[in-house]
Amino acid sequence: MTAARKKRKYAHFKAANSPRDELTHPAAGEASPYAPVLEIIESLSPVELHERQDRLERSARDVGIHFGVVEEGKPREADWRLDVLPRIIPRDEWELLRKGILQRARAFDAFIRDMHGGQDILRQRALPHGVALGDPAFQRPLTTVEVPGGEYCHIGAFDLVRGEDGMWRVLENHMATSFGLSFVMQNRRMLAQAFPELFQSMDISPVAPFITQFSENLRAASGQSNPHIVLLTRGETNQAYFDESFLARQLGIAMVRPADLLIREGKVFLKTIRGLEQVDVIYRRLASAAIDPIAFAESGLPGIPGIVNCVRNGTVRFVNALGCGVADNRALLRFSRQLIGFYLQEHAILDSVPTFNCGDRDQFDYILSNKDEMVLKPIQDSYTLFRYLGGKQLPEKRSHLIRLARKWPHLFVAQPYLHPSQLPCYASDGFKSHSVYLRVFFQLGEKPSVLPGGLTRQSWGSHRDNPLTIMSEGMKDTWVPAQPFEYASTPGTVTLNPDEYSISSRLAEGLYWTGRYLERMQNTARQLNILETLRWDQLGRAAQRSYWPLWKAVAAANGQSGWSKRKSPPKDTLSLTRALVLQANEPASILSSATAAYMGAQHIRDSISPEVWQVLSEFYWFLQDAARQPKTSRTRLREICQRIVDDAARLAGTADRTMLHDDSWQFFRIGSFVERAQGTATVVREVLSWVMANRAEGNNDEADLTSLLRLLTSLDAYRREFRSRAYLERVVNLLLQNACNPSSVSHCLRQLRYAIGTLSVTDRVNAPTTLDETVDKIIARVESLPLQRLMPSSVRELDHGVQESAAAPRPEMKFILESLTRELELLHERLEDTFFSHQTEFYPDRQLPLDWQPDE
Amino acid sequence: MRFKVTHTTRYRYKTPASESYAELRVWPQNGPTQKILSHKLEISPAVPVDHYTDYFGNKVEYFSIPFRHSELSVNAVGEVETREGPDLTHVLETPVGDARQILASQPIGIFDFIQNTELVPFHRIQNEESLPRFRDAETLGEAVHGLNTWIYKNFAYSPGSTDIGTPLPTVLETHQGVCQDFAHLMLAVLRMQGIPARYVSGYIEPYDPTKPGQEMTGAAASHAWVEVYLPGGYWYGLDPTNNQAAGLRHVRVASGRDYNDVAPMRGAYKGAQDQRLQVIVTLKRRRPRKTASTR
Repeated sequence: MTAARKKRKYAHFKAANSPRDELTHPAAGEASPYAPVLEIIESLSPVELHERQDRLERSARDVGIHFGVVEEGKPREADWRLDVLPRIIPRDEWELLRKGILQRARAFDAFIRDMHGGQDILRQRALPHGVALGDPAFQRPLTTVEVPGGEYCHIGAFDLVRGEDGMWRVLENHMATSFGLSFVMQNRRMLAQAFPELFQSMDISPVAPFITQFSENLRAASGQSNPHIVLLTRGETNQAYFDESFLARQLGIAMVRPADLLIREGKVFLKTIRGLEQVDVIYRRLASAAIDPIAFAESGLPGIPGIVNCVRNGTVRFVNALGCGVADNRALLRFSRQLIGFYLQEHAILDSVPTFNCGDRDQFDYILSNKDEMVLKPIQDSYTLFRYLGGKQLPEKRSHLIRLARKWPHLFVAQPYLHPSQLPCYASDGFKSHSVYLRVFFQLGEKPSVLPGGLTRQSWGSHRDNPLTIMSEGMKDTWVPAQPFEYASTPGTVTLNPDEYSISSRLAEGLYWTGRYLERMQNTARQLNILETLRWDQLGRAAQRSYWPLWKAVAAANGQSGWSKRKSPPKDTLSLTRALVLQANEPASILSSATAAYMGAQHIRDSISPEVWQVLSEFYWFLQDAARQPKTSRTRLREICQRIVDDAARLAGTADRTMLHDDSWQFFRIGSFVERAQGTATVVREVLSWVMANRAEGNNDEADLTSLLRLLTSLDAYRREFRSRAYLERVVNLLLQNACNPSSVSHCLRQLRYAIGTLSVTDRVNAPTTLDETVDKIIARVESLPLQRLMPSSVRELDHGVQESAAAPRPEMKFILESLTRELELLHERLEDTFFSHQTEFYPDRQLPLDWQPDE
Repeated sequence: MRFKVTHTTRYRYKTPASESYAELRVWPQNGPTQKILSHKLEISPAVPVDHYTDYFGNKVEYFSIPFRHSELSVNAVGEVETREGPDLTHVLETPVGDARQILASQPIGIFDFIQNTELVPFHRIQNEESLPRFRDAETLGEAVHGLNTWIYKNFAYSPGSTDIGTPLPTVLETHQGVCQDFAHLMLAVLRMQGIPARYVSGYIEPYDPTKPGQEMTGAAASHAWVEVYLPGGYWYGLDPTNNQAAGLRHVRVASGRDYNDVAPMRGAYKGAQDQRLQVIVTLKRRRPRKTASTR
């Protein structure tokens, strides 16, 4: 090759001149495996190359938007960076790597089994016992839980680096929960779309069959023909969550969080709005320590109480089995050679990178005197070390890490800075060399296999003090040339059936409560605004008396029994208003309702449109700010109430236009109708009981019915319907029975009934049907109440009026309204039982029916 | 001596709990110092109970109540006969220095019992000068009994002054606590000096019906003490709350690294906001003598 030709050949790569660069400095005497790929890249002009990288970035952005993370309440695009130049691992090098990975996986799997069984390796002193027994991931309770077939690790990964000497070494084990598999799939797909010519340059081993095989392995793990498999996630919106949601889709399984699962009679169930579905296999993505707060009390983490005993009884199986974390203990790295020898009686093909254990006094001294050339790492992730870190994330600063290591030496290791091999990575001004790390995925089981290729990650800096996140600094597609016969097996496809599972109870419940709290917040705000407009402090005593029942009603609807029981009006109501608007420890205050709605919505963030979230967080922060001001004035309180009424309307409109009107949407609506019906019924009950008590005492005071109608946004409806001044019986009729009045109990129940009817739960046995019937019954009762008889009109010409002396509401009205409010509370319990907690499914007879039909 | 033990735990929920789940460690086990004649567990509301043996050899019973309930009561009734354990006088005469050497080459089984744990974080009090230190020359018996007495004399037994969340340094500072605190403190001092020891939960007969007026401390609730690992594989019980070796009036239930491993009842419940807990333990001698029946 002439010098001129060589120069032209590496035109794009002239800045990638690190002596550690695999591409520009192939080992002496070897042909570069990159030659075919380089041929294609070199045929492009700088502009064309730039355009290819742009194309990649665009498709990465699409993925990022699709799985946008949320940080501090603001959606942020994911930082998905994929380089145009793939990494290529020559076939013979890969073969050795593959064998080494399988060997190591089998040996560490045997170690997991041994630690939970006889602990032979410790008894025979082939490993210092403190290293294994001092690992917080070694959970004593799991030693008494049998794992079928002793198959602990089904799927895992190793992080590897290729040294300057061309040798591959293992940096970390990931045998408990290995992240990043879906990134491999995504990267391959994206590069193929943006740069299809590259793929014509060589035959590459496909990556998709690995997932197909995993899907089969998951099914096989259950020992059943049609198992119910779920992916258990912590559910935080982070990079791992991307990975999980990809995988769940690719595997066609539901993604659940601990709160979605329920233990009944020794079995695990997934709560869905269609009822309980028994779960057979759980593909877990969280540490064992975070699985069961009863079994692992010392971890201090929440989880699913009692699930370990379900595993013990064999009714459910985890993949990977609980306890696999012991293989990820970084303090074991320096013993990997011994471990492989002990369990397999083989020489290790792959070594670990040099690792020093702080738990060993001499090694710790060495680490401390060389601390500027080493990375200090905990032996496990921060969830497993939760208790030792005081419930915090691992500190980033080296000095803080050293302080922790001095406190808990056996929990820390150090690895000298590595000099991994490098590869050119494209930036806008051409290729530059960067260090690359490789994560390789494997599966054990009947047919152990290694995913050809893996996740190559780039690192900008020269040294790494912090662990690499999955994709922080960019990735490369990783190619292993296919063996000629390999193409006979075409990449398998994974069947997707996203419709198989209905929405989870947790999601439904979250939306239901968000709906309820928002409705409650809005009602309280509107009512206080109206009542405060009356300028209580400037009212005469008589006027105060006529408004007092309304205050009492609002207080009662908000759980303020102290105020609602008060017979005579107080001098001023400002303190009550203050409490109900901005007091955080007042369960029914506007602030509390908004907070509950906001916090609840956070947990179901992925089901709420960003627009709705925007409005919700705006008024949440507005209220938080307002609550910080001392001594809020009456005028200010009214402003706050007005703003909340407006914002609630804005939110309802935004939700209606931006959210999918599916099952989850219906739960949002169901929540607000339940709340509104209860609110109306309570206010009517309170006002009526005041009127009746007042009349019984012979007082002539009347409640201000016009204001009552305004409180329940029914004044205009009343005027249109009756075109008269407000009469009590007509008001009650409008608020209870008029299905066209959006505030009436009848309207809310009919809407609720409709919403339940639209839920896609019809193929499920009886549960919703009986709920339908329950709602139908309440509607019928409310609408058939003989109000004319129960509350005779005092005006003869109107509504079959009677003599004024006989016009008082009949005493049974009080009982009827009390029963109605109670029935509406029970309706909430029925909804809860049917869709959220599934009480009825196991013990239906424990639900007590209630009868409140008035005597005829 | 034969005892009938009843251990009742009752939770009352202000608003009904929709589900409860619990693990119990209230089943006394056979061992060198006792024999179990019977054990019965009653749960109300009635639900099926399952059991297993845990890593430390304790029998664990568990159950779930998957429906609404406003009260949960667990009643464990058992009959136990306590016996004199093996005579350990000779072993206790081993000098501490020798014992340390023997223990250093011991099997992996005792690793757990010389570690820091959440409730026995001895690294936090390691530098306290007031703590007794064992001399290599003194015998193991003198050393551990000396420690037992030191705790008994320097710390006031004051129920209600601490709960299970009270950290060890606070106990050291305030010089008061209950049997759990004394057991944890003793474990800390033993472990920091390389002597393996474990936490024991159980019951104690509060007074000797034959000798009125000599009440023991720790009555009317679960008791806790410590067992020290001796060369030769023996476990030797010491009760710092009462300044004595565990004897015929101690009924063992469970043992572990600290209280967390042996908590009599660990549970979770859903739905209820507020709960009230009531625990009643009674321990009665069977075939009581005349003096007892007059009480």
